[in-house]
Amino acid sequence: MSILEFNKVKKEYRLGETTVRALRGVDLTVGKGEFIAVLGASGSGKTTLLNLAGAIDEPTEGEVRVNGQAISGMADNAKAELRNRTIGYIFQNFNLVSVLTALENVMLSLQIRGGRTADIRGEASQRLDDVGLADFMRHRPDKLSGGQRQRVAIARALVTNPLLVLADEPTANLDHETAQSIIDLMKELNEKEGVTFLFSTHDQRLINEVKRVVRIDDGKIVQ
Amino acid sequence: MLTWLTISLRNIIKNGRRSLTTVLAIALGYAAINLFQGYVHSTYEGLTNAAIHGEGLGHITIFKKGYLDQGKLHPEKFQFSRDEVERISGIVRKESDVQLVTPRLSVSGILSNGRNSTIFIAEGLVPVDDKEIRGDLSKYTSFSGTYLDDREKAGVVIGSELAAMLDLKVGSDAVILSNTYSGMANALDAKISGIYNTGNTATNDKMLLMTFRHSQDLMDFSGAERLVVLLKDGRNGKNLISVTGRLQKGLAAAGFSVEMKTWNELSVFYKQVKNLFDMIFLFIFIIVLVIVVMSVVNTMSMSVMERTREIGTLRALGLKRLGVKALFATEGALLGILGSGLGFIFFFTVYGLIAAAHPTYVPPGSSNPVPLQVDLVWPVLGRSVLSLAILALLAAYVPARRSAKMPIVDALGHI
Repeated sequence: MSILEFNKVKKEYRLGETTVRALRGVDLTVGKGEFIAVLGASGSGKTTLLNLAGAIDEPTEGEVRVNGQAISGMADNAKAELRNRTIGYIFQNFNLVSVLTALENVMLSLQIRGGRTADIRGEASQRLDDVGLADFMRHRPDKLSGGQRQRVAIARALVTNPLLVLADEPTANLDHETAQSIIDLMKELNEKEGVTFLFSTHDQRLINEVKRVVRIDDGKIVQ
Repeated sequence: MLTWLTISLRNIIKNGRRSLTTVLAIALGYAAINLFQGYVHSTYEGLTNAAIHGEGLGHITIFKKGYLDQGKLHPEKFQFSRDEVERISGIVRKESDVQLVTPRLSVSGILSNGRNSTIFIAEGLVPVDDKEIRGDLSKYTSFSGTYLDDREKAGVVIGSELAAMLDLKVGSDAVILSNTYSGMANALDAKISGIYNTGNTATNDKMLLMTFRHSQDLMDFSGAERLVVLLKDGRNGKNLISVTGRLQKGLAAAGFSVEMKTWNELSVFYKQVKNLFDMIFLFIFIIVLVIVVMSVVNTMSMSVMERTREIGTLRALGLKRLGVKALFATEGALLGILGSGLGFIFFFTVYGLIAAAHPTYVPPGSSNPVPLQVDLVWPVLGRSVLSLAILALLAAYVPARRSAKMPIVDALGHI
């Protein structure tokens, strides 16, 4: 069963007087357990594709279905719930809440969903343990290295057990060694837990690890 | 909710200097409002006591119907006869909240020391009843001599300016002259038994108090102009309205056509001061409100701008728009509560200084200095915390609403 479907998706932006055609009729299907890299030059439409896949943007034309649900026309609250229950995000700049500890950052997604704090704390601790940060739970982001921050972001993305994890250049801001460890972690989660990953990257090492590559050029999938 | 509180509190601490400015603005506003409210409360209490006890208005005054409109033109038509005074007093005394009912007679005329004379306005009162209403005059005004006494029927107490104008001293003899209700001139001997400061420059040079019997003799009349009712302690306020209603009903049922006025309706000075203070309070409140709102809006707008990417992230994680609003509204409310808390400390510091220094001042229209006093009004202090927290919350809601409406993609791309 497909988790994500793009049917003839077009996306246009207004940039001042100019209309930017970010996607020009994209068709894409992502199945459960896939580990997919989206490649392309800067401005080719990678981030737009991920934004649409993550229900944080809407197509100008065509249809995007996440877990069978069309996101166009969906109420804002329904989309928020869809994001919370179905999708996990890993951002290039980690996007951790600076005033919260690593553990509190990971707890956030579950707290948005609601539940007993003790249960949420337990699940978040487990996820931090899974990404190798058991000893850094009480640290705030500014006391963590870039790799550790990205691990917290991964733990945060996975703590809700999403069907699909989207990552926008997850290793772009990391040094070689740290980037490798993040790649290994994502690969491990994909293989052991069957987590579906769709990520944009320029990192050749990450591309070498994937089962499927989607190459995008000037708003169209070319491979 | 605890998470939003945690995020809010930590962001307030993180932006310490900015938060402190806002908290200080709220604190000063809180202290200003409550110090003024405390002062106004103390003044109202003082004016209430001055009207009910000092002026001797009691709580309720009963007039014959029509007196207030035409009583000055045809006073003889709107007086209670002796029999009416007794019957009405009997009905009023049956009301459980009533402590005392006493007759009064207003007189005006000329007071003479034998060589010079000047006008006076006088109240004819029952000394023992009046003492119960006014208490000890010497406690709240400068008083020399002795108070009215039925055993000294001709004794009068006069305002200090009036005494000075006619060079009258305690024990001096004088003559009081007035027109009776039938239009005849009548003069009686009087002895100055006491001199006091009425506390009001407008009356201190013409006020005269005399025994009720003496005033009846002067007016050649056996009845009373009005009846003054004093309620038992603590029966003012809401009780006043209900007691007035019950008395009105009871007297109407007994066939009396009367009209009643409460002390606050009769005391022009109280009404004027209250209106003035209410206006000043409104003015101060609006200034504080504008400062607090502007300060919180400014702080929260900066906070929202700096945390736009965080908002985008939270929205991407599934936080609904309402959640974003709640997050910033919580921060606004916290600023309001912290500001009020600090304001509470400011308030008590100034309150303590005033209580220790006992400053006095002479208010306009008064001939005596009065203490500058600030009352502790706990319900107002509590309500102010709540009001400022809600105000800060609403002020924070404006930028929060704007941020919640921002497209997630734009928020995430914000630098």
